[in-house]
Amino acid sequence: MLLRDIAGQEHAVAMLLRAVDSGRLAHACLFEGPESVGKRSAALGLALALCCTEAPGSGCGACDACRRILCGRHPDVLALTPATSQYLVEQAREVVALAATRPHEAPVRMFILDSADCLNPSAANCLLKTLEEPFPGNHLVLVTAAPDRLLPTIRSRTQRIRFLPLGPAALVRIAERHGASPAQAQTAAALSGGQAARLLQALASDAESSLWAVVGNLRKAAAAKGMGPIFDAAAEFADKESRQDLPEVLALLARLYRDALVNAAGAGDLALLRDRAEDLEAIAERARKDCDLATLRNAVREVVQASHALLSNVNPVTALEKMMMDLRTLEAGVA
Amino acid sequence: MSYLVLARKYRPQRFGDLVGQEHVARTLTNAIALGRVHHAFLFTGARGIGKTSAARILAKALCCEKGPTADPCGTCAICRSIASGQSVDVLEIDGASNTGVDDVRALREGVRYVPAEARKKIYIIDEVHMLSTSAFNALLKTLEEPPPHVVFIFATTEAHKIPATILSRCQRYDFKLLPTRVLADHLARILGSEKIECEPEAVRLLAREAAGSVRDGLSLLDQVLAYAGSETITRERVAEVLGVADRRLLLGLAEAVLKRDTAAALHALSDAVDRGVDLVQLGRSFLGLLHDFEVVTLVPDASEVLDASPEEIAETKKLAERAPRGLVTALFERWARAVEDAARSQTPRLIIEMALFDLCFAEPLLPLGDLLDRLGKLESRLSAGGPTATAPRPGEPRPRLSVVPPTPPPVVPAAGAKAVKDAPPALPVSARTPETDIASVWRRACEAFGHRPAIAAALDHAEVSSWEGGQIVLVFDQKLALDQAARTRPELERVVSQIVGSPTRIALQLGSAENGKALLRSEVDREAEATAAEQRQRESEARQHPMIRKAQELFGTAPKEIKTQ
Repeated sequence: MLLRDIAGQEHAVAMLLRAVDSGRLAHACLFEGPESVGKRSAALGLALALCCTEAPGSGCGACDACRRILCGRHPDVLALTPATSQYLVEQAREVVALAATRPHEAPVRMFILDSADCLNPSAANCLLKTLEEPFPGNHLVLVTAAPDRLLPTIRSRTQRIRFLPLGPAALVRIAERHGASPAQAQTAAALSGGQAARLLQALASDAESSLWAVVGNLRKAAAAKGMGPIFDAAAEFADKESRQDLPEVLALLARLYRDALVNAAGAGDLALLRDRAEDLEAIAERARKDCDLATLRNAVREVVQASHALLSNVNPVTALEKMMMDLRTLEAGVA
Repeated sequence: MSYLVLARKYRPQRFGDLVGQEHVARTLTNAIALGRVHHAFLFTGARGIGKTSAARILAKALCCEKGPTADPCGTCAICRSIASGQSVDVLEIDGASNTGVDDVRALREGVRYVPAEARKKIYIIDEVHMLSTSAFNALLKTLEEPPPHVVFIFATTEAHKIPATILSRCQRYDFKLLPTRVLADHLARILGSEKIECEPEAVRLLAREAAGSVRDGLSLLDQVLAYAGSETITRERVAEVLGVADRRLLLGLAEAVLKRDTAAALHALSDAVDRGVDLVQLGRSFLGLLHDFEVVTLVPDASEVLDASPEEIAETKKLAERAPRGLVTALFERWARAVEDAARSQTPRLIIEMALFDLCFAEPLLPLGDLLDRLGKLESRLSAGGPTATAPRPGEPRPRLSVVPPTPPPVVPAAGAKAVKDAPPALPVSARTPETDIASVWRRACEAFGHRPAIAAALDHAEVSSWEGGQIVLVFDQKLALDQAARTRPELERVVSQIVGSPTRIALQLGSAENGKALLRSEVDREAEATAAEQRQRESEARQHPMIRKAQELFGTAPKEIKTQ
């Protein structure tokens, strides 16, 4: 992928393009940001921009050099991954040795170290001198989702390029690029946690309507008169088959309440689930009339707590029951 | 094509260029001038503050054709070959790549030979902490007594990983992190020589983000230059590139929170995220701003404490004055928790947004003293109202009192241990009959103040010394407690009068109260006495038991010990 085609990382891309353009690209960069937001693609894009013979500075993706880079056969673009669960010192020594020589054919040689936080201590230390002063023409790009796990001495020798979680707009755009309807795109974006891979996964599973049905049932149970429906619903949706959907269901529920809260606070433009405007307005109305915004805010907290509880192995039935009982304040107007 | 980053371009070439390490530069300069140069050095300190540079300068200083001099010329053949890393006599070794004992053995082989062209043979081992234990040990003898032409210079960020035997053979120099101001000046100088326009505010922000390390600062500067191109570098630009929250943005957020305008706060947050600010970073910066709020309200001259310009401080102060007392503390506590949660969460934005709502709903957190004062005032107002003082407390449902018959007075009137034990559980003062037993009176008086920790604590230090003619004498073992009780004496008298059922005065004294103890023994004492009496009773019963008597007859001796448990 060319640098300019990477969605939702305008900052990082602009920074890299300008650096290439002005000839001020540092020889050691650290691409940091959450999983699956385009770091590795950007590293390859940078390699294209630096090594392309047809369109130097941006890359064309079609020339001989570009195609060899994209299929991983260019002698001067080395994309490394940890040999075991870690990078071993032998791998680092190979990089050190190679980085002390001139590139073979391209103007620069580029090392891309994916998951750089997996460098074990000896390997990381071994790279220090090279990261600081490589032989001219050698570039190193360290890619990581956990920059805090890198040695401070490594962080200080590299230029940080930050990649951000993909914003709602970018996510919806990517989803629509893959042919999703607005409703599907919004749901998938709410489930993606800002990561492209999870967005596409959510789109592919095509579970949108069934997830929303569960959300509706949970809310209905919480809004019912007695406690009976709550126990029934918890038993139904936390049984062995349904419970694997619970994290998604709770994510959607939290997002629904959050959007309603944002709506009620008068910042409706920040809501993501615009296709569910009626639901949002109904909840917001209820919050305004029967209780207050704090209740709605507490509802979000309850749902978030329930999803944390699920992650930390709390019995799902209990977690759901507690959540719905707490939601009664909002949904059924019970104090 | 390859661009030389600023950190390499402006690597110090003379001791005078070392920024912020004057203590090291001066010691080394003097050592060279006096000819007292040690043969093994250890440079240690945080990342990017001049260890490797100092090692290279020292090498040049010792080898320069015009030396040894503290001020190497930098132009002679040897200086130039050292600077370009091509000298055969100055060997810069990457300790992290040559970690094994064999590498050290090879090094020791070379040590024996005299330098080829320079005056000294210098071994610079960078990242020396990565050498293996045997590698270190293999060095020991050489390090202690090397040939006269050899100097070792070790550089590391982690001196604690180096064996004590190595440390004791080296002269150790600790490099320090740079204060923000020094670093800012240095960055400004470099910008000057690069002929780049830059706002002072921007430089300050860069220096702050570099956290004391020159190389970090220059890396960040490189990043900003790469982005800004030839434009003037402004504070906004720096904030944008580094992904830190601009102060103006933070102030906007704070203003929205103080106005309780959730929509504005959400929009400010959304703007920040759109501009590429990292959420957790934003959270931490906002926490810093809340901290600044407290500081500017408490410290008259905040410029000495805070790392900010006078205008920023004035701005902060103006906003801080709008926050009611105690609110900022409440905000800080909530926000701190939210930031920690967000850093660990999969959905940091949700957490931060909800925390913003929390902040907008937050009530001031009053200091405990304030609350006590308020409560005290409320109470005195109630007591001034006369009859209200004897009315049941507001929380007490009125009808219940009429249904439940008044508690009968204790059956045993004397001050015996039993009586106290059987006393009914505490009820509201007004619902009880007059007391005649000083122990119960005192206990109930203390209970009545149980909800006011300050007074209750003071009463803990009191003993009743006498109770005669409508006057109770309290003896305190602490001046502090006495003073506290004296302040609340009217209330104390009122409560005691109510319990006793007749007007009672209270006198306060300082000192130990021997007879007070006799009059009013503590609960624990009483219990202990009761248990002892019971024990005696059981023992004598046991002695009377027919089987024991029979045994006594058989063995012809009295039981030595009787266990009753």
